[in-house]
Amino acid sequence: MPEWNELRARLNHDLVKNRLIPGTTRMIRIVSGSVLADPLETFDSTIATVWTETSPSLQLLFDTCESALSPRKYFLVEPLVHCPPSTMEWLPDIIHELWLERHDIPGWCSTGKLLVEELDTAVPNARNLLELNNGISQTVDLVEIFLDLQKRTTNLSIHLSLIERKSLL
Amino acid sequence: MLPHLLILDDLFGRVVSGGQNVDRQNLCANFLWYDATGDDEAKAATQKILKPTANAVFFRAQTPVAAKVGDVVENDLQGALEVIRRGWVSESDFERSAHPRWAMVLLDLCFYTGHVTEESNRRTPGMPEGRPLDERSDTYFGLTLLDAIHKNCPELPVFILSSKPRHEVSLEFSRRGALGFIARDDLAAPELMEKALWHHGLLADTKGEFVGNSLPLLLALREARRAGGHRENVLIKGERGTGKELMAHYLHQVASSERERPFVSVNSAVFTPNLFASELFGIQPRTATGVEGKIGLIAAANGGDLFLDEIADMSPEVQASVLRVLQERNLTPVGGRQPISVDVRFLSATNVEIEDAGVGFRADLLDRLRTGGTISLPRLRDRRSDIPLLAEQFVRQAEAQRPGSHERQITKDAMALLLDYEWPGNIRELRSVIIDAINRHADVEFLVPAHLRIGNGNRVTTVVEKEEKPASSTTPALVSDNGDEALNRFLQLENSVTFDQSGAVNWAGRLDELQLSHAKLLARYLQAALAATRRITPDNLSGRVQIHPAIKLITGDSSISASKAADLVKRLLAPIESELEGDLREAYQIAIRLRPKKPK
Repeated sequence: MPEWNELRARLNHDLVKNRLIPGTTRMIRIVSGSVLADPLETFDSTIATVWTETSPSLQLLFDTCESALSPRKYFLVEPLVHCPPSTMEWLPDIIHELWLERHDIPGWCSTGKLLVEELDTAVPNARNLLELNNGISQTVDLVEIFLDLQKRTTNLSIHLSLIERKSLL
Repeated sequence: MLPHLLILDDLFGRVVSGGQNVDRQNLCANFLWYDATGDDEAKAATQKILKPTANAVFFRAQTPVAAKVGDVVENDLQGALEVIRRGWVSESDFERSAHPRWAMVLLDLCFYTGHVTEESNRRTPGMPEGRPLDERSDTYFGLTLLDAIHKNCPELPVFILSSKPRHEVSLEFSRRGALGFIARDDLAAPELMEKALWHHGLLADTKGEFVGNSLPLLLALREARRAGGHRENVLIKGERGTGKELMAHYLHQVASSERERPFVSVNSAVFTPNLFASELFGIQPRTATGVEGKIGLIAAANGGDLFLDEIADMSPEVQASVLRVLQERNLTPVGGRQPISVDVRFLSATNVEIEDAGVGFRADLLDRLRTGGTISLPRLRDRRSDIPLLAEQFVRQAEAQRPGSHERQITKDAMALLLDYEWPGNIRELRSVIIDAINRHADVEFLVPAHLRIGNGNRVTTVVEKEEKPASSTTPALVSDNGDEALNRFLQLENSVTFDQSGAVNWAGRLDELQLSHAKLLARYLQAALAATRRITPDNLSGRVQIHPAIKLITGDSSISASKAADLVKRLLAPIESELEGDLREAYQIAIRLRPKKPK
């Protein structure tokens, strides 16, 4: 769990909060005309490459969440490891099921995966639109596209932070 | 002028190489900051902020600033303090500082230290792995920096700019004196930053009404902006000539940015016991008696601000009446029966210690006149670093009132004189001195010490020993801070010299000596003129020798040509060419360059 949580915190802090969200904000500034820069080049360096790195790591994070965080693991260490075998047959599974139910871990994972999948589509779409505009940067469509991207990355960050509270409950 | 921000942050302050610090560019784009750091990252930036809101200077506060794989990154408290001090020198040292004053410091909390590994460098170029204590909220290096700033520069406004959750750290940063917290990942962060800067930052008056960047002035302006955020009454204190009415206007403007509100100004000394009621409260019109109505000053300021200047001059009757209005928020015009409610903010000003019992001002009224705080305007002698800017402004204003007038410069010596004086009459007195100098010397291009009548002209001319060459010269030199008087004395001395016959024999054969002495005298005159007309530029504060203006000054002939001026310099200095030093040598070389032919 410490490794999983560390990975989650690092992905959220280093890549989503520090890179993707500021990157989308910068793109909004560029396409709305308050900052002069090459939109496509900036997009590639601030969002596309970062997302290529982040997406598979996030997928892995959501895939491994249940096994990494489950309280079942407490039965593998002191003192619960001394529970009689008859108890071990049912208690860890029950505890696990109750935990899943109480914190809606599957729901958290599936929502997270969905957010990642949506960004997997939205990021290349934004790039395509930028290419289509080919230098004509100050268009309303593009501003809306990047506002949407900003909203999605912010939602992802908020979602990644939610598990901190869940695991503490 | 854009405010200067200092951002102490390991992520944004690091130098990667060739503009790879994408994080810094992202931040600058987000907040619309111009990267004024001047390092390799700033130079390699691939974007241009079209309308920047601030100049941002980034510093990592760690060594090495440009860390690579294998390096060990450590926090650098002393380095950070050194950078802070660049833009935070004392008022007396500020003239010598080439760096603008920090409007605010933005401080990160968590600074990662330790080895830069392949993995950490891959994740974020130039960043180390981090150590356990780096991330503990009670041992954040940002808090150590905050303590050090608070101890060394208590007036310097500091805000926290972090991606950490506010609730985790608010107690730690608040009790250490930070003014607030901005979450970097908050989408509203740029707007919050703008508000924080307006409310807490040390900003010059962008409208140019208040000229200067000295700390005492910036602190007063900040108080005014803070007071402008509400409709409470404000007391303005300051010596005569410090700009109390200007401050009242500033307060009014910062409060009225969204909609127009009336501003009414009145000197309290004009209220006589018989007339104050009709002036302040107005007169109710009466058709039957033919009495014409009159709107009082308070009603005229309804919805806006009433500026009462020199409130210490209010008679007890007026004080009692104003107190009633403040208590009841309404007034009854003279001859009227129905009170009318008013919403007026009172801005009052005084140049006396009005709290002193001897002044006779009601304490209960005073309390109500400063519910929104007191703004103390600094004396000019407490903000000397603003004198060059103010003097320059007054010169330009005077020139603007004289169509076709040529541009004047204040010489270094004259400026030194302005900087040295105590200015009991503050800015008003400075303005008078400049305007007077220009009025009396309409056709000069340089204001020299002799033009400035400072302190009612009661300045002292002194005769002191010349100290430059004690071994070879024992002749007293006339050194004066009042050129007119020095010249008069010199002329008097020269005119009084007679060569009686009894002594004439002793002078025989000493014509060469006399000529040399005369040449030296003229050279000293030229030296003084060269010093007075030095051209001071931002990159050369000691000034550059100019022979043309110096000769214009000596001869009083503003139409003299440059080549003729060069000829004169050659002619004056040729007899003592071998003894020339400093400015005189430079002037002679300039003259030779311009007019290479031998003087006749």
